[in-house]
Amino acid sequence: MRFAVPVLILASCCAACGDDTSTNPSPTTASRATERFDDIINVRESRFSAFSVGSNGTTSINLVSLTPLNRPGVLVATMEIGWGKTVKDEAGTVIGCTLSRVMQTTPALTAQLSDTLPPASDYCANIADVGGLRESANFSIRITHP
Amino acid sequence: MSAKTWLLIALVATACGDGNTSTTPSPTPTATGESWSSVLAPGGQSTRSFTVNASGTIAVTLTNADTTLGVGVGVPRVTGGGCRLGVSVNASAGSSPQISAPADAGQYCVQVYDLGTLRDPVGFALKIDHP
Repeated sequence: MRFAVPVLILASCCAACGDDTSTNPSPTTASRATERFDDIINVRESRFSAFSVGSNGTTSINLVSLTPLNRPGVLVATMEIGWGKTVKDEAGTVIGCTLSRVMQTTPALTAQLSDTLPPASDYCANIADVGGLRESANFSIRITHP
Repeated sequence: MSAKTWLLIALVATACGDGNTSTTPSPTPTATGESWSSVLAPGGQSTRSFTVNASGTIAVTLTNADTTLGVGVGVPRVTGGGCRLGVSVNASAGSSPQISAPADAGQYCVQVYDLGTLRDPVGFALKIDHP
């Protein structure tokens, strides 16, 4: 009995230590998809590609690459990129892209255009030459969305 | 109770921490350094892919080459291999990065290419630092 009190106090202290069960961070990041839009663009032309947004969140468009067709290196030319809604003909075939937002930019490894778009299946990403292109070029656009 | 017993109780009691002060998760992307060496043929190009796990800076250093070469960073081609460059420079070997570019997380590639000056194959080495 001589050690009963201190042992009881020690046990109480140890039992009070720690509260590990509620400290784990809970992942809340929604899954995101990255699509590639690679093609060739000619002088004074434009190209578009359709994409879908599955849930609310930020959609980013990144003109990541603009290169000559038949030699290594990059082209430094200002291009117009943007997003909008697809235009369909009576048969439901996508025939165009009505732009909602555009900007002029040069290629970079970070997204140039970011907007919060509601879920829909009729978005399009667009690239156009606005006078900076002197020759046909390969381009790569990354579209990242929820 | 003896003094030693009370001292022991005090030590155990003070060991109980305030769990709330250390519960904030701190994402700390790990910096990665990759070394790559290969041989470049006249008129050729050589490509290596890598993954950037978080937004940050991609730094490429051509550490060894006997001549000036083209060095670029871009995204891997969807089909057929190779690299779609976003940035490129004409680089001579050195100890400081010839390319330093902010980048989003994702798949990337580095490409070394002949600027049209090679008459024989040349060896090169470079280092890629990224998040």
